[in-house]
Amino acid sequence: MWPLPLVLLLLDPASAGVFGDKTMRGDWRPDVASELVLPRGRWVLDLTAATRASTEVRGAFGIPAPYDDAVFRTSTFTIGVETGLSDRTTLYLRAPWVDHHLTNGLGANIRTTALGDAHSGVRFQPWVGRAHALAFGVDLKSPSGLEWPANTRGGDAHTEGFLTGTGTTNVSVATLGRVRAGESFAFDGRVAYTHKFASVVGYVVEIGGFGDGWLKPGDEFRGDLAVTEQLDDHVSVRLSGTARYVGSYLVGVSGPGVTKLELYWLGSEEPYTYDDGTVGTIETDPSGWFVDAAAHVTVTPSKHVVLSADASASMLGADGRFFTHLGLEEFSPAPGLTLGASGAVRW
Amino acid sequence: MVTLLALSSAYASGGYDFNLPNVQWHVLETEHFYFHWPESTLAPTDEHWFTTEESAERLAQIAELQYAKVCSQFNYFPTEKTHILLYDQTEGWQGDGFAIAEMDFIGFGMNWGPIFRERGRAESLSDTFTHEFSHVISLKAYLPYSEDLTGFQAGGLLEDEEWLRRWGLHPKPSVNFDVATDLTMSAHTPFWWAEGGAEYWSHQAGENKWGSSRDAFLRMTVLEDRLPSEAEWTSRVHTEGMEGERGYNNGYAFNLWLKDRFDRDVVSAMATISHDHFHWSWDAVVKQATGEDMHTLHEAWKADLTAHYLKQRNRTEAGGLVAGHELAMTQPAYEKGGPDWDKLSWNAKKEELDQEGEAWYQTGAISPDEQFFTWFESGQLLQKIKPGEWGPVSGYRPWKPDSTRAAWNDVHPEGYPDGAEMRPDFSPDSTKLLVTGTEGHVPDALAALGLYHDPGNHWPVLEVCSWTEKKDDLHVTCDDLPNTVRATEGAYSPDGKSIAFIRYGDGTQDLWTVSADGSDPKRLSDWGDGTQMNGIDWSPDGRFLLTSLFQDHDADLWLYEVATATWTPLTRSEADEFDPIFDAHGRVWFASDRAGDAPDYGKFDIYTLDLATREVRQQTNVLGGAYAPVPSAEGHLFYTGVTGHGFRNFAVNAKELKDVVVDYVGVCPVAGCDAPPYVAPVLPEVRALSVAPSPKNTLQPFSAWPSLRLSDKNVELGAGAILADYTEKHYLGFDFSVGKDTYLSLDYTNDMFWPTIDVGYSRYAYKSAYSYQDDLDGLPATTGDTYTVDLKYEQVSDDAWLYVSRYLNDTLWLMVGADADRYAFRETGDGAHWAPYVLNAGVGVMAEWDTSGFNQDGWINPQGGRHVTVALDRRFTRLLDNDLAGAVVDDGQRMDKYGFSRVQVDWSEFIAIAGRHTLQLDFTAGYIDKNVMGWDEFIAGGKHPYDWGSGTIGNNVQFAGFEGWSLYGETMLMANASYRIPLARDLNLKTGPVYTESVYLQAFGTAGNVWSYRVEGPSHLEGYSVVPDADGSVRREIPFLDYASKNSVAGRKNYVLNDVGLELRVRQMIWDDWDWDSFLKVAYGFQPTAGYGDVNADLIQSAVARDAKSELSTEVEPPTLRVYLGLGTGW
Repeated sequence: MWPLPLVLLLLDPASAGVFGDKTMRGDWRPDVASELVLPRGRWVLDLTAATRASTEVRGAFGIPAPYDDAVFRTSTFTIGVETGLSDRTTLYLRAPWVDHHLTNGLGANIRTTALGDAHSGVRFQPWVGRAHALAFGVDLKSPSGLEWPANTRGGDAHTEGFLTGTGTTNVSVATLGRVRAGESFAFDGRVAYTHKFASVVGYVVEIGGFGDGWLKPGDEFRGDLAVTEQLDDHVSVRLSGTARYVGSYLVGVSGPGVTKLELYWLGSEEPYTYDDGTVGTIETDPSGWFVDAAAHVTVTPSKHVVLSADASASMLGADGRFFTHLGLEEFSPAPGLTLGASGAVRW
Repeated sequence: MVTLLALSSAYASGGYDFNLPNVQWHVLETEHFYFHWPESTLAPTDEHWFTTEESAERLAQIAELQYAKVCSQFNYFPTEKTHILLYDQTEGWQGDGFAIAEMDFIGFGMNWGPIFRERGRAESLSDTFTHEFSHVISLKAYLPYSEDLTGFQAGGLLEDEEWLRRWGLHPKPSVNFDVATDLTMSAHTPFWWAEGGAEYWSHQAGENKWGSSRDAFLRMTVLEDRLPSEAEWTSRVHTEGMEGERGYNNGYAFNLWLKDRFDRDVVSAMATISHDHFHWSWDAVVKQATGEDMHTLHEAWKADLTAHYLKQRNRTEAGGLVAGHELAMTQPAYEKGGPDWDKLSWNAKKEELDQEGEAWYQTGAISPDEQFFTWFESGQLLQKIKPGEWGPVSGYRPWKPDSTRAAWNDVHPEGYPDGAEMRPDFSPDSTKLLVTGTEGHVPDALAALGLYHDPGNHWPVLEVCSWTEKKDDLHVTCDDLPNTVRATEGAYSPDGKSIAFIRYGDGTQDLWTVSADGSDPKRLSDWGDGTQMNGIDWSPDGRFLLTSLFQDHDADLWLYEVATATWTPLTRSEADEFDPIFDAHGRVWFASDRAGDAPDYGKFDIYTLDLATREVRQQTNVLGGAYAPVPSAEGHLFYTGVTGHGFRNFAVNAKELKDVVVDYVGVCPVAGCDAPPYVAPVLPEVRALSVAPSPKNTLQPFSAWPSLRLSDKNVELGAGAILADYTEKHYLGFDFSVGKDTYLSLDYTNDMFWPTIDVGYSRYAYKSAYSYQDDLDGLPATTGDTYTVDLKYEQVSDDAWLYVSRYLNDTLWLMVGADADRYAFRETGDGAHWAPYVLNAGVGVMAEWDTSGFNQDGWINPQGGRHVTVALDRRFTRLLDNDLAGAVVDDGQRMDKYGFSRVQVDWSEFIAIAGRHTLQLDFTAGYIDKNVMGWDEFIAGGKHPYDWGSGTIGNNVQFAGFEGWSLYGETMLMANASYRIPLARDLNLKTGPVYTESVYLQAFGTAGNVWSYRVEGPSHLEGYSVVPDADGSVRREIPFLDYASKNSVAGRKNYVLNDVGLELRVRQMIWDDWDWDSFLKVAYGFQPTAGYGDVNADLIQSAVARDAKSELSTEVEPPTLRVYLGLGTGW
């Protein structure tokens, strides 16, 4: 894997000529004191692993319902590269490798490992060196992941593999802020809007199986809040919460009999028993709120190495059934506790 | 990488195109620098042995002293060490240097080469180092962003009419509109700040000075109206050669003037201003630094210069001008003068002068019998002077423009530049000429083809030339003089039996003699202290050798007595005395910048010194500067004079010489000077402190180049990065982009040997969404039952290659190589599995011959010459999956495993017409020796230059009137004619960061076609494929006799395709130095076309066969107006 020799070069003093320090580079600061952009000329090569074993799926209204005896483990290994282009601008790229693994008591053992959808973007902080910080960002999610179901028969009964990418492109704009309280505390906030572009994808459900069709994922609003305490120069802890509202999906399938392609809402009407005992139908909709909470600890043993660990839990979610059987975490995140760890070298 | 470095330790390179053999690098690390100094691994007795040990010792001392002096000007003290490469292998790399700030990289030739008359003599090591180190520090200090990212490239392409439709636009008639832009964001500085600044900062550091030579250059530039305009000066356009040096000179002067005007260092302050914020134009930086706009400053500077130099002219003229006459082949345009000339812009004047061959004619010399004259232009020239033509000394030009009697020839066909400013010498009997050339004579035929190569053996050497007369021509032959390698200048002894010469070695020049046949070499001096020598001559009695020694920043005249081996100074003055030479009477002629009549400035004039009386007489009083005197036997003077148009040969009749005794301060009396001799500084010992190269001390800093590419269908973000070493020419490139498509490339290039070796691998996975139109009953005649299906799939290609290439000479490039590609496919139902379907591999050879100097990205209107490429391939294709590959039957034949040969010839002629008009003729021919699948065929059609891929047709105008990638076949013949005319030239329009130079319009038309194979005779259908019922009924289409069946639509046979068009080309630069050329092209193809798949490029493919006998699509591309627009994409 290509990052490995890079890491070795970074850690090898003999390679100082390649990655040696330069005067143009800004100074590293402790977490709380740092800006929302990297110091100029700095690079971070970040390797992150995260895993979650989920035994539930969010059903109608986002209520978690247990699998019978299945465990769906989704793991990601992400390589991130980030660099301070200037004093005020940071560029980044994150490419995930995704591993989905489903096992159950009936002997199912389905696994797919492939490149996921990559994110790249830019953050711009107009003013630096002030008590508080404000920055703006643009993020592009590229459909670089695997978007091909392993067979053409639709439905979870025919699952033979998972997807690691949606096949669609997202563009997000975000505003980020950091308010520092003394030298020990910082409060971070972010609001973002994500537009998701329509595209032809290979997993839109047709009658009798998967097929090519148009998918327009719902746009997202997202807000993040975090509080960070700098315990000392080397250790910080952070608590964070994320809330996002995901819009509805639209799909459309062209083919015989379709003279004009029109996208339609991807919801459903399902039987429902009201409080008074009457039975009727109700519309279920994959749109809705998703709320996660997380705790992080970051250790910086040297200015060139950053280690961190985090745990996050899905607190609230919407109906995730539509794409759960495909393993599409962006659309249908499986509930559960996610454990993550990362190591970064920076220079 | 480490292994490769170890393997290549016996080679050395850097500033050279490739490594040179028999060289070992040593690395010295000091507090702020790494010094990479090479040394020959040959035996020290070998003529080509060399070392740079003393140069490294001197440079190490200089560099550490200069570090603070340069850095303090910017208050920028880099912690990273700068790598300095000392080049001394002398393969034509002398007197030059470069700096790459982001790479912490300086390289320069230890051998300073010939005397740099535009600047005057300087301590080469310290001056060059300080100049280049000033670049490193200024270009670090001014950068508004990270050094690791040297720019950001962004661009995009919208193709075809499809994107218009998506945006709701439906032009009638249908217009195919390809529009693209390409912009590289980069920090930038104008020439005057970058190069003039380096001169200025080295001046501030005390290692550079505004001397008489520079002043003469600027004085004549001003007085002869050769100052570039503000816009012209910003860009490096037209700044090659002399104009490049004018850029340095003017920038240096302007920066000094800025400091004086504002009484503070506003020049260095600009670095800080640029560092803090990115500026779209440097003018904004100037405004912020000075409070005045650039235009105001430039005008004020010009006004000050004009007043200053008019005053000097008046004073010089008051003393009576003695300059003689220029020895010009034709009357220079500038001398014609007049209102029309005066109205021309600087660039326009330059072009007029170029038309008349503006060149430097210099270092002329007359033979003792006064029958021959030699001088240096772009090579050494020799002319026989016939009676009656010898006009300069009597006031006439020696060569009339219409003269056919004058014979001349190029003494040195290869045009060795080192001879440029060295005086040649005739043998006493006027039958031989001694010049400085390059060792190793190659037969002309081999040299022209570049088929001779002997790296490491092209050092400067003295050459003895002789000639024969044939009618009005001189046939000149030259031979290397043995034992004179690294000689810079030589002189025959009065008896013609010996030759004295100056030889370079490890940072010092010394005096040597050799017999006229090259035997018996003797070393007469061993300075070992950086001494530079200039001018060499024997006294008429053969007792003394005369030369100029430059030591401790000063040049003086010295005599060397051969019998006693003693040196005696003739001058110990503050002035510089150069180019000494004896006349027949024993008088010493020399050039000096002694401050004479104008004590506030020095000016080079020619003087004579009587050795017996030590009387000095001034012989010229020129406006510019006079150098390199050569007195004739009759006492006439020939010299090299500086003008606003370069150096020229001048002659002064003996009767017109000033010949006035002057009080020359610093001339030594006969008894000798009592000035103390020069004592060279004690140098550190570096050999013991140096180490062998290792990855730690030879790897360059990491460097990356982000990129963004947009299209109607895709957004791709990525970056290129490179790891390279300083000395051994290893380059490991890494490229990737991520979007709907993903691309990864690893490429290793090795230049350690004289051919370039390139080996690499790339993987390109691309997803494609398109629409497929089908017909329920399969019958085109029925309507209303067609429908469209949207489809998506993903393909991946894995490519590996090995290429070996080399420029055989300046015009011929040859490449041999091999490559292999594998293609795989997946879609819904495949999951992560890739299904490979085609393997394709080949070996080939390609040659490119270019005599036009044409660079497709750089030149708007190549005139003259030709550009020819010939490519020959042997390729093999194997289908791994017949279903996925689409068909195993194509053009009637089953093809799942085959080999084929392919040859393609592209020939372009650039025919210059009067008035900068150009007729360009392009011919393209291609032949594949058998029927092959569509993807192996030639593919033609209009392409936007921003498009990438391996199209058969280049980014010009051939078949621009037809849909790109639409014409297929195994035989290709086409001819194109374009006629270009200038609409506006020398616009010199500067708008923000964009400099617009010129606009051209060209009309073009193409005729030709691409022919394939067809089935004739009984056949049947297999799926969409036509299969002959009997063997032998598939035949090759004969060009022009057959119509091209693939691109012909039903009912119309395309024997020949034609298109016409117009293109507007705009030559522009952005960010001072970057090409940013734009165009608008409109083309129209007269024939409707058909073919494979999505013929009309509406992204909807028809599934219906064109007719009952074809696997081709029913789609038809009607004649369509095609518009191509490129902003900054080139053409």
